[in-house]
Amino acid sequence: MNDDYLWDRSGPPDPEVARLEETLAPLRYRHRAGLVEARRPRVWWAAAAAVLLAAVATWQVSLRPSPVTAWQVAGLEGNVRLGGRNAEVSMTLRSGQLLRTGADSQITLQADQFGQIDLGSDSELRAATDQHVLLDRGQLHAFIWSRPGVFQVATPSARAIDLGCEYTIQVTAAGDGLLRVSRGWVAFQYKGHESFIPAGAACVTRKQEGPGIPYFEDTSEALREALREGALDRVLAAATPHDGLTLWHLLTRVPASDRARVYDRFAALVEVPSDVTREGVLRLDAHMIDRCWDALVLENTEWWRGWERKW
Amino acid sequence: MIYTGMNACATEEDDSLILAAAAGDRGAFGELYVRYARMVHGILLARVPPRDAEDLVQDVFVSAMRQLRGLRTAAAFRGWLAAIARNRAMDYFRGNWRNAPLDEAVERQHGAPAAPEDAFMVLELIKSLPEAYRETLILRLVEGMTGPEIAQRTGLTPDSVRVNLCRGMKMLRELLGGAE
Repeated sequence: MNDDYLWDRSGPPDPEVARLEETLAPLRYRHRAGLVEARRPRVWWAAAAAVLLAAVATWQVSLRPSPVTAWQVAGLEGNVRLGGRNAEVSMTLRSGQLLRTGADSQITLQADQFGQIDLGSDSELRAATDQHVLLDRGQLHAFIWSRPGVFQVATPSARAIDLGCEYTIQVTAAGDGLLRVSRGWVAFQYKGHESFIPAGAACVTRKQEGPGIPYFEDTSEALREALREGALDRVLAAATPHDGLTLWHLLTRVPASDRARVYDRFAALVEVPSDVTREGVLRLDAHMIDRCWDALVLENTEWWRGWERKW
Repeated sequence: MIYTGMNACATEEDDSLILAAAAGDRGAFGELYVRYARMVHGILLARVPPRDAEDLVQDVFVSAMRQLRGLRTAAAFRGWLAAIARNRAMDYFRGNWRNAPLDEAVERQHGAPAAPEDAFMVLELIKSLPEAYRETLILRLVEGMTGPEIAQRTGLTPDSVRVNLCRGMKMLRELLGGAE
């Protein structure tokens, strides 16, 4: 048998090799975003013990300085204050400490096991733990190399969960925000509703409302403007096959009375699998919504297998 | 099949990243992580239980980052990183009875990634092959790398990778024939 397919996937697929690839794909790297969840003890007494320990720990912690985190100052420019002092290279961020940059100032934080954070001017950041930081205002650029689902940035209007790799979050003084992803994926969550933003896409978030509908940054201005104004008819009219991601998010966000219009446009632009029915999507059948996601054929979405899927 | 210029170009890019990372550029190191994580995971998966391979990828890169400044040439990086991964897999079992290889059926009940039974069965068959074939087949069939990518990432010659793939696949077909 010709081994070109085995070698570099050129030529006609070798059926056995293709079958093995499909069978083994779930074991591929970054398939296990849910691993930590799976290892969590589930017996009730463990939870009760954890609550008790947390209470004791809280009481003890109040008597001593807050713990250090893995984040260290790697570089800075201008006026940067950390915990009420001028920040210096090699200082370590403590849990709960406020990091504040002035005008025309910036700071770079690094944590060997997690990644790098660049904080822009007029920004305020606190680290809750190694994996959780809070951006109150300003601009944060994160390049993360820890496992998907581990590192999170909370903002006043949404929580950004890194699904591997690089993104920028801007938060206004009013608490609204904009997330732009340059590599990998980021999940944006707020009170049970969420948006998934791939490289090249962006998503606005508003205080009290949470993340909006993501869009690719190279999409038409007409679609972006319609999204900003919440004009569904114009969004549907301006959508192209490249905007399947935007329409997929709309499927679960619009009122039931508008869902049919969104699905019809989605099905007209995206090749929907044969086992997906219009009725199934309209009643928000989780499997059907999943299959619509599959139809987007987005690259590098292995994390999806371990995702919570709250719809 | 000719070893193409595209691979040579990718190697040059990697070399620049390796040199930058060795000089302390964390962004370059992060990019190397993105490019080499599948290779490291595949090497680990050929040796340790699937439930722990992903965590060990982190360990390998943390260890590599600490030692990178001691690396004298970019060309050495690939074999060096692969060696760190293999050593880490050996350390995993060495002197720690908790990590001793378990019966596969038992192992599946302890935090292994969600995957069909068939995936674990085929993985075990691959792990029974000679080491050179085992590693190359896992990189190809599990991690989804092509032969040229495997050669470029591991530092093996394309001819060696091709031979390993063909012979390994032949043996795997025979095992699968026997298993069915």
